[in-house]
Amino acid sequence: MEVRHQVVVVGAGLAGLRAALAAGQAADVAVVSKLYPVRSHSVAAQGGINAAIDERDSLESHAYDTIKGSDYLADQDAVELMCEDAPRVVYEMEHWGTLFSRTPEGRIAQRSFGGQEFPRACYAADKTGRALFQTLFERSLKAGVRVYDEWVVLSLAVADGAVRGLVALDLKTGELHTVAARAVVMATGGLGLMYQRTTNPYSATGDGTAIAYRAGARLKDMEFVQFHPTSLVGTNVLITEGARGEGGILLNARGERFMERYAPRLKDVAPRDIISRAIETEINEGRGLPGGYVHLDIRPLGLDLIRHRLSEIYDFCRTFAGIDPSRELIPVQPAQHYMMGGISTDNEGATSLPGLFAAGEGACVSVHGSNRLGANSLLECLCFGRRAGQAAAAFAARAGEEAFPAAALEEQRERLAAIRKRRQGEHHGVVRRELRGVMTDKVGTFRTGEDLAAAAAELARLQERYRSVALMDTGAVFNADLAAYLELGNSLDLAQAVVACALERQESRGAHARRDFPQRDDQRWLKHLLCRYSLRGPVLEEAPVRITRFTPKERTY
Amino acid sequence: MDEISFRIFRFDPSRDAEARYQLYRIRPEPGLTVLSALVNLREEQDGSLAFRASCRSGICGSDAMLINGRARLACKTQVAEAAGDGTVTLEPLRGFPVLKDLVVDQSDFWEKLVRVKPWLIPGPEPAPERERLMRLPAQQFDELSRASDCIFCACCYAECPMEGRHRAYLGPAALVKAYRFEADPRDAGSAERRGALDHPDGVWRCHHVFRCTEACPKEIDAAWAIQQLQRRLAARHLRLKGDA
Repeated sequence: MEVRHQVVVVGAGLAGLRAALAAGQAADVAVVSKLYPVRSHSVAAQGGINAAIDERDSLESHAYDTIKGSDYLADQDAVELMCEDAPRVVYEMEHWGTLFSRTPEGRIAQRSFGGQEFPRACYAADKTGRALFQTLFERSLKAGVRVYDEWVVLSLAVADGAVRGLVALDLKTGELHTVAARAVVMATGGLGLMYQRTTNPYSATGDGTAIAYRAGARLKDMEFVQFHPTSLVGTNVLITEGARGEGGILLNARGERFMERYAPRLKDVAPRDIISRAIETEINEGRGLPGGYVHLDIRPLGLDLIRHRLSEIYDFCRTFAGIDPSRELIPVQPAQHYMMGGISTDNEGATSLPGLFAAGEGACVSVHGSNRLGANSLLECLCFGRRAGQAAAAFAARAGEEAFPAAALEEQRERLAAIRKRRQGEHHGVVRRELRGVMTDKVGTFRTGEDLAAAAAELARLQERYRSVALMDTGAVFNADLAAYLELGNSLDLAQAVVACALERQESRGAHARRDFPQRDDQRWLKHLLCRYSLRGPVLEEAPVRITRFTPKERTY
Repeated sequence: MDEISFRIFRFDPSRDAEARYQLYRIRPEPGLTVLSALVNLREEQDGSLAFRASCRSGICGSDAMLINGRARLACKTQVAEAAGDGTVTLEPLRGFPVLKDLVVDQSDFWEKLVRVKPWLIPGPEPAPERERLMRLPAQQFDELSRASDCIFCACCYAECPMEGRHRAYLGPAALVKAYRFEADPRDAGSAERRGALDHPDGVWRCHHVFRCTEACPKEIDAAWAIQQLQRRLAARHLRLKGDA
């Protein structure tokens, strides 16, 4: 099948659907997604969305907290823009129907979140992502947005240095389709499945980010991987920061409230990088529980509050750990949660590749710098998803109708034929398990040059093996084995970018903590690392950090 | 228990003339969910097995299937609990065309959802600059919040006896969605939804068997929500009659 649209959005999560709705105002738009929209992981976001909507709060305070949280690596003009847009975003979603929790006066309720000086996370119990996403999904149904669901994007079609559309595999039939477009918006979300311990879903393999990278777009801030302090031991599903925002506290094996020692002022609502390192330190120094975890205590909040404002958490604890969090301690440990880095964009979502735009977790503006504050990612998706959609539509209006390069389809046809033909070779599942082990063991909360170099060597070997792996299923219909093989290729390319940038940055900043370089070094490293794809591996470049009015200083909480 | 059996429905329309059941051996570790077992199985034993999965925490609704004959989410079902007699039988959701193995075509489900206009239809008054104030008694807000928890997994459709007999019936999930807006004080779209709801294949097809409520993994009382819609419409009919 050959289809043509002016703008095509890849990914149907919060950023993707917002981009599609915005682009649809001025252009013919369609969405391509490997999942049906409501299966996207935006629905799993729990705690909230930040906006300075209280009279006692200010845009400047929101911007300052975000920049300080980023350890001064965020681009300050982009942060200011996002924080200024935040109240508009929240009111727009409320007007469209989002069911926010309310104060007794009937206003949108807000709670405390990590690293913030004011309780500015607007929330819908502990299902804020689902509440926001359902509203956007409903709007997209109303607007009749065309979605090609369960289509796996294989590549971008590029000709004369500009994007012309994409090639996709239809999972339901096994057919290849071409989607010609004047502009493409990548919004495929996170990449957490490259880690063994992650709060991310099976689908978070960074597909769009990897495809853009291979097509020539620059990645940015790839060394900064966020580890969420509180994932449930066992399945590593997320226990929202909102649990601590509501008053929950962390305890080590001795029952000590250890965060008092690491962040005397904010304690259990310090930023995520600081709390994750504190937990790892407690465990490494023998004050963790056997098996490597600590406890989250939300018992004092009482059953009524837990059942209303933390209802998903209540359910998770019972379903996955068999415990009642109103009476028992919750076993938690850090797990990969979010990727600060991604496809490098400007404030309008434009990338280094003409016609390619990006938004959401798979993109990097950068508003999070080296550490994202909780409740800023839903905001980022809605703020920059909209901007990227608008910019893509404007670009499409200027661009002419170009022919789709036939070679792009042929290349993918040959690639799939080659892997389907291969009868011998180890299964890609083995390579995936090893990748996830390497990333969790060597590219985690604390890093060293030695570990990172070992990881780089290991990844090069895994890439080599990937070239000769085989499938178990060569069928056409709903071939999940083939999809997983393609996803693994994306994970491997991005893992190499993460490790190359982490090895290069010889300092500790935000989520990137080098034991061999424990200090932040603004003299040498107050800059972004950009990453360009080459067949020999990632090629690194640098870009300045844009500073407006917040001078970098020591970060204490 | 050392090992248990997974007995899985297999059908690939491009290769198989008819469906069959295939047996797999699984080592049940404590805490192992049916979904984790399936993921391991696909990676280690049989890559050709098709099922949908994403969030693995009961929020995305991808992995609804029949587990020992009942519609459930694989990620929220413990293997140890499901393997009573040592065998877990997995089949695709009832009432939907099978695409392959445990994957069904949900198109019909989505079409029915759109028929109830599942979006907020505000009244004619202009929206305020800030949020609309919303003061609801706690219990009413809870009911609304609960009704908005639907994850579109379609367990309720697979369990609903009326769905099975009347293909045109809108079904529990679409009606719960309609209720979610009808009960929202910000919504004024009743007249626009009435055509779909006040119809033999709308709310009146529900015969209160409560299987949807039992099946819902998010503990939404779907049957109750449908009753609320029936009540509202019945009250309107009585009012109209009284006026005549």
